[in-house]
Amino acid sequence: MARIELQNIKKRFGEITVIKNINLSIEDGEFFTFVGPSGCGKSTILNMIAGLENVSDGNILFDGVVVNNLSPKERDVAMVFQSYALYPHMTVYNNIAFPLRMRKYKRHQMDEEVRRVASLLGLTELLARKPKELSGGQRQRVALGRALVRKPKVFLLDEPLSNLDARLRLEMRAELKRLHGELKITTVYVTHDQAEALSLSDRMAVLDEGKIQQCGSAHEVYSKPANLFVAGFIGSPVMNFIPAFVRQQEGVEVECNGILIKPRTERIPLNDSVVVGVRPEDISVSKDETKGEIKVSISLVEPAGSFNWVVFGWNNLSLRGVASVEEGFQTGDRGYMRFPSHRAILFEENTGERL
Amino acid sequence: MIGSLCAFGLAKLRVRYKPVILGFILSASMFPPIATVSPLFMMIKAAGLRDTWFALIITYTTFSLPLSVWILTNFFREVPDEIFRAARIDGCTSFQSYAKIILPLSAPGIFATAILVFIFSWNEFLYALTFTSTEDSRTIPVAIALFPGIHEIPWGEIAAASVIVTIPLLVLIFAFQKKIIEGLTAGAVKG
Repeated sequence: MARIELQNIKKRFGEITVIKNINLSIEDGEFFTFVGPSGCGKSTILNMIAGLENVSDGNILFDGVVVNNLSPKERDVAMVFQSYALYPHMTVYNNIAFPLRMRKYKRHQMDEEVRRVASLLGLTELLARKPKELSGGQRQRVALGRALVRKPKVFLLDEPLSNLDARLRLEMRAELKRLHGELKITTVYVTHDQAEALSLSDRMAVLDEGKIQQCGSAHEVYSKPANLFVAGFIGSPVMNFIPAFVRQQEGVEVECNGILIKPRTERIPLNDSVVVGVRPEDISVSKDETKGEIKVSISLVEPAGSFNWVVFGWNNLSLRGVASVEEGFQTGDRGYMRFPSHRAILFEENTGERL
Repeated sequence: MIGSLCAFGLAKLRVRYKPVILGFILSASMFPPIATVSPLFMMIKAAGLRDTWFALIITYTTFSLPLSVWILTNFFREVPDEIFRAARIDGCTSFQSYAKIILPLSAPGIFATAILVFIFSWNEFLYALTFTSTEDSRTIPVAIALFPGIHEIPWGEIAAASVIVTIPLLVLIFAFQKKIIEGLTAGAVKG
């Protein structure tokens, strides 16, 4: 159990600065996620917390103690890797027991701990097998077991689910959430999958180009994205962005593709050029003229089971929205869209900041 | 064994001037043996090791090290970095992760190298001829070469001896064949 603080963390590889000044504190027992596109530095941050990489500048604190120069062993962290990194020449039992063996546990105590973790993860039947005789999901659970067995202060996960198939990933996601609920170990999770980040974490930080773009709960990040990058990265399918012009500064009114809307804003735009962001799930398209006032033409229909995603043309813009299956839209059909101006989010065009 | 320790350091740890060190090690094996025989002979004589197996052991170790370091460095590089990191997280020091993880995983490579080095030492002729003088310390290739007498060359005996000499090599290779072929790293990471 530990509270982690990152103070002015920077990381340089040669001339290139990968991490630019990160300040963050992760509370004791929290499930915290770093999410971002490949190459944004999220794994580097995790390696620095683990003690596998040195920080170029700044301090890492565990429970208020600077741990910059401590080895992973002294920091008492456990880590699960994307490729699992099991020891292939050892059985499952020995893989899980290995961290305990390195800490010189007594034999019977070690045996007890290994069996406890194995039953927690449903691995009891597999203890005598070697990693190559296991399926992907089983290997993943062994890797989890190896990390959990010694009850670390901090639990670090580096994209642990990205090598699993879609169904297994959902199962393991639920499993991780259950384990965290039971064990309450401070967990730092790294992923590029925004859906994973949203569903698992207490709080998350969206990273891009070595900087934290936004840090907050899943709901905050989703409904109040700090800038265009976060808005585009979080949520699936991607948010619609529409260029617009400010018509009225007070009580902000903008002209967006020929219509006037009044989105909710927190401050007055400084520039005339703005971007309106609308989530596809907020735009509904119907064949019924009374349910919408803007005429659109459907260019693509993607069934999602209970409803359809539709891509449609509105003047020269191509947007995405939802339509119920009963509408029976076909490519080339006419439809009517209601613009959800109360749900629209306004961004400044030049800075990308939310207004 | 010494070679594997050195190779581990070069493959997995952060050492400065890595290419320079590797190049230097390689250069040691570039001298033609005949050029090094005389100085080595002087050194061994000075150390009082002439006509002992120990003299040969030292020379062979020195000359087979570059080869083994080069081969093993590449074998160790193939052990995924994540396994090495996992070992450090689990509480290994660098040496422990070498002994408990890297070594068992590279067993095929180590066996292959060991056999190569063994063949090299087993068949070596020049140093053996130079550093030994009595029957007690002579190695087999030298002994066979000294079979011919003044008046006749006993081809039959030479042929027979040569065949017998290859037997230990064959036995060794058959014994380790399975180890060499076995893909010990299978199952470590996905793929």
